[in-house]
Amino acid sequence: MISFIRRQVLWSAMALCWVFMQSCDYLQPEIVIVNKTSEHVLIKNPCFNGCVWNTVLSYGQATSPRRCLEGPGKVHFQKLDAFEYCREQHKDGTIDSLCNCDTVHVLIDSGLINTTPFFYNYQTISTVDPVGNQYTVIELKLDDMEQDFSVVGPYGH
Amino acid sequence: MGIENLRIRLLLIFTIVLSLSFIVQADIISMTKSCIDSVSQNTTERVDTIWIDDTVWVKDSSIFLHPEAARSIDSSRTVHDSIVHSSHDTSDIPTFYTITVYGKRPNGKDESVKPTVVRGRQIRESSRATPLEELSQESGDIYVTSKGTGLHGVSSGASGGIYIRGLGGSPNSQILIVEDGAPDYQGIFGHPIPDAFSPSLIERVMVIKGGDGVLFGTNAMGGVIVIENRWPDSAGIQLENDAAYGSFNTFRERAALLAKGANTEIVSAFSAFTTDGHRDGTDGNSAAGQIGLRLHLPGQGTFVLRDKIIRLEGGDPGPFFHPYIDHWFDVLRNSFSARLDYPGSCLHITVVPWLNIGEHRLYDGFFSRDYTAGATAECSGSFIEQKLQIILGTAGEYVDGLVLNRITGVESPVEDLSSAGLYGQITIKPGLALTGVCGGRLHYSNIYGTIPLYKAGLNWDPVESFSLHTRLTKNFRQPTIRELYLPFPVANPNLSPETAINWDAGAEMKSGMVRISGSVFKTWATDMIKYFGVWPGAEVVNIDRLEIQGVEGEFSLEHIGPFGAFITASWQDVGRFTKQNPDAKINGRISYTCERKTGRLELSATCEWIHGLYMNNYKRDPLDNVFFIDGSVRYHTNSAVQLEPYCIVRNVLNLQYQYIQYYPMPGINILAGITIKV
Repeated sequence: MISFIRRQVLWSAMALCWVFMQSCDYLQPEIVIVNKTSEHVLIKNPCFNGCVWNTVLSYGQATSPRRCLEGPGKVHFQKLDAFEYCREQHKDGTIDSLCNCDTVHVLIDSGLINTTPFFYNYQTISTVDPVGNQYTVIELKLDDMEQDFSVVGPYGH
Repeated sequence: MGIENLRIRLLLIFTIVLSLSFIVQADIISMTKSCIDSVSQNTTERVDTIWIDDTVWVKDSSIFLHPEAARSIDSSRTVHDSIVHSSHDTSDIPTFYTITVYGKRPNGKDESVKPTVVRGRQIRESSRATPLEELSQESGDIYVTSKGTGLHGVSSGASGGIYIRGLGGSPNSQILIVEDGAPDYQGIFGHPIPDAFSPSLIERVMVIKGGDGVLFGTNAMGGVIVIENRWPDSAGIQLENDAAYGSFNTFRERAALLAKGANTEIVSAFSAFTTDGHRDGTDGNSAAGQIGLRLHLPGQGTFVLRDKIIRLEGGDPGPFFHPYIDHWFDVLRNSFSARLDYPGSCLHITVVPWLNIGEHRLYDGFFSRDYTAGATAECSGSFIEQKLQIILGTAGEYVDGLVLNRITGVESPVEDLSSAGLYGQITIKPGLALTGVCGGRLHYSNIYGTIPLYKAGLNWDPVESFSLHTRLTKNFRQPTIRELYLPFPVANPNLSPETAINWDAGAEMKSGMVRISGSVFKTWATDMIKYFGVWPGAEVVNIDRLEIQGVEGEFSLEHIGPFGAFITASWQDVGRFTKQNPDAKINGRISYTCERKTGRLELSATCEWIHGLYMNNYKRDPLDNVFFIDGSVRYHTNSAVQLEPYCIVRNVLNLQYQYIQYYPMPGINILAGITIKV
């Protein structure tokens, strides 16, 4: 009987440990990032408090929910303005026309032309501070972003 | 990175072990009960069981009754503060007593040193995530950086920087790790690999603060971490298995097998660790295997062979706001050593050759293969009724390697480093409880020529419970291959070796259950090698002078009933070079031990507080104070097959803190497991 009770206590203790273990993971806030910038802006690799989503978000798209670290933070991401890119390419003569815009061809030194779309580093101006087991949806908006120069060099060992 | 495969294997091992534990559980309970029954049937029989450290198990009532006898055993085994547990049968139900045996703190070869000593069992049972962090927990003047749940890593973004009294750190080349007499470090970068510190077979670790260049040569500048591995203490086979699972999908498995025959002893261990990490990029795994063979030769001589292989896979997670998920590293290292001990009638001869080989691969194409080979030969003897002890030795070392970029195929030219040394140490005990130690070394380097090193120390024990000590050492470190030749981020072939004169003085008092000790220390260093700036404008140069001064102290109260308490603190002034070198640090521990019929319950809470932490020199980029509390509960069964279920809760208060800027530590997390000792 004593043996049986001890075994039950041991099982219970292990089950309790398991529950605690899982609950620790669930103490972290759940984050979703939504591209609410503009129809012609693409968002790439958004990061927030230790989470990085390796994806490209077009307008209206959202990341999958993920558990990130607690504490205040900004969303860091890379941004490509597709309209701006097309306008530059049109100006450089690499495409004939751009929507209903001017179709005048301008001769440009082809050595200066870069047809590769380039994503620039941006971050949100506002700070989000999710706490505990909070489900937080962060919307990226054009009036809440600035260029991001915070990318630091690696900590050398 | 093979994490999934390793995890599956670990999961299988964990499941098997848990299943086995439940199978044997009923047997253990019945065995324990039968043991109690056998005692209670014969009320005149005394069953005294004594554990000293975790290596000696003596059943002898005379030793139990005579503290002096216990002390002599304790001293001869060089075990300090051992605990004697006794089951003394005076009634139908045995009662348990706890008696503290006071022994001498082991000093190693230099008796003027007061090292920090951490037992292997304590490291294995620690609530801290890595063995190095447990060393930091035990001494205020040892600071170790961390970034996550159990892997320090290598290269950029690595943690595990060891700072002892302001020296060491990034990189750890001013701290030397010596395992069973053989130095263990990466040849090209000149520093130990923090994750290679595998605790499965460790008997004890001594941290010699202030270094000892005379006995250990280059790199033993800020401190020496001396690891002594264990051997079976009784004939037969001992098996230990520790399996644990925790938050962030963390698995930890440690298995050790120790076997002792008539003239042969074999030890082997396997340890594996894998975790998803608390944030993106902090996942990783490690696996280590060790094997050792000791042959007893005629005339009490011994010959030992040891080999350790370790594989690390992980990555630099990057700053939390820009996590990296592909900055991986892959490390494979092997260290081999042999040791011949021949205790002659008046001279003890020791010869230790070693060979370390490692391969490091990084995400950016970096590849290195390094070789470190060397040997020491030492003879020691005692004369004039042990009043004079002399050590004479010679050592040689060769370091070489290959470095290339696997993407571009460009090989970076490196030149080998070799050195040799002749050293000697004299210990004099003239009486009046005085012990004087002095020594010198002539170190020859193929680049820097001959460098003289020296040391002197004095220890005075006016009464048994009180001692005073002081020590002065001149140590040095020759630049590493990386600093001389490799553009990571910049090289300087004209660097001079670093030299440091370390001085300390202190006192220690033991009275009953109380122990108090304290030291003041000061370092005068010249030609320290420092990196400035960032690529492409970075430079590595010698700086003129550096002074470090500070105080450290310890206070412990053991066995106040079921309670024990320990606190250690340090304050230091490191001048301008404040990068990852904190001003003050406090570590504490409160423990509660409850003896029961079938075992022992241990509860403990540990904490760490760090103040004045900066990410850069000149007190730039200050970090918030570090503070956290860890807790653990562990139950040891008193039976032939010992079961030790345990649960560790780290960062109980779920506080946010970081040792390295933008590398936040995890919140509250749990590791639960079970240790089985057969």
